[in-house]
Amino acid sequence: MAHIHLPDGAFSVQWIITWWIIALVILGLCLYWLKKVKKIDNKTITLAAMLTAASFAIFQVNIPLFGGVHMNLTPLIGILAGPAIGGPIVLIVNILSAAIGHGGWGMVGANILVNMTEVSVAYGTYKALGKINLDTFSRAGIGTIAGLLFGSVTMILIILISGIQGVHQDVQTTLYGLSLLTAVNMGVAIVESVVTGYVVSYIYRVRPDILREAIPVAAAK
Amino acid sequence: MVLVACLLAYIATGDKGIEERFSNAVGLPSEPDQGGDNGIFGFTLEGNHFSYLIILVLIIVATALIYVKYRV
Repeated sequence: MAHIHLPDGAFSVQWIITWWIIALVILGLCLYWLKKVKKIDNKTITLAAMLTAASFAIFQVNIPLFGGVHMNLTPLIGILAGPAIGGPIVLIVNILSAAIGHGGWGMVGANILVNMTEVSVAYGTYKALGKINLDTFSRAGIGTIAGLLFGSVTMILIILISGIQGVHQDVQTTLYGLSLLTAVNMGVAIVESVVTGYVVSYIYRVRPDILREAIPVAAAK
Repeated sequence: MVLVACLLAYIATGDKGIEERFSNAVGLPSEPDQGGDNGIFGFTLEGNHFSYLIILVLIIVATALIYVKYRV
């Protein structure tokens, strides 16, 4: 959901390259993990393809809520596929989005970092809450809100660190403006958490193997 | 609580699209509302619609082929 909606030229070239390099390092780690540590299987590839299609399809839709917002299902990607396969998915979705004119090419690296934060935090929160025997809907919902909140924080940090070319607004004013933006986005995070919660709890009922949870711990509501 | 904070922030920033809200937040000049496209029940598409449809069809076909190939 958090996405840096700035045109090309808003960040200086140094920062565009910096965010791209960090994003590529993280993507390299994801691919290394998939190749050496957790071997990717056919089921994961199929799931990744479905999640990529769903995320791309819904991300381009402007939802008429609070003036217009987006969802991109990154927490769902994290919960269902995990951060390692989530990396290539967010890379593809961001590149395809830039290809159709939704977001600048220079922002892809920074947006991958924002989306990877959402994927990783949602996954980590979902897994951590499994230890306290919470039902699947609540785990997925809380994981989604946590992921989107941390994604927004990452977005704010990236913008504050990079600065905006040609803008002489002080940091406090920018931080205030982005905090208001995040507050509006968090209203949509509630909607996305309900959607993610229902999808994950449905999958938990019909195909628990997809969630890599062979033995049910808590009954999905 | 989150919804209250969201509504207060929405009132403070005013009714505007995400790009305009973003531009205002970082101090960039807002682009004028292009208008015209109200979409379906207010749902509109970002970017080039034709490219979106082509890419979406291709990605769905690729997903279907992968699904059929691996039969998971």
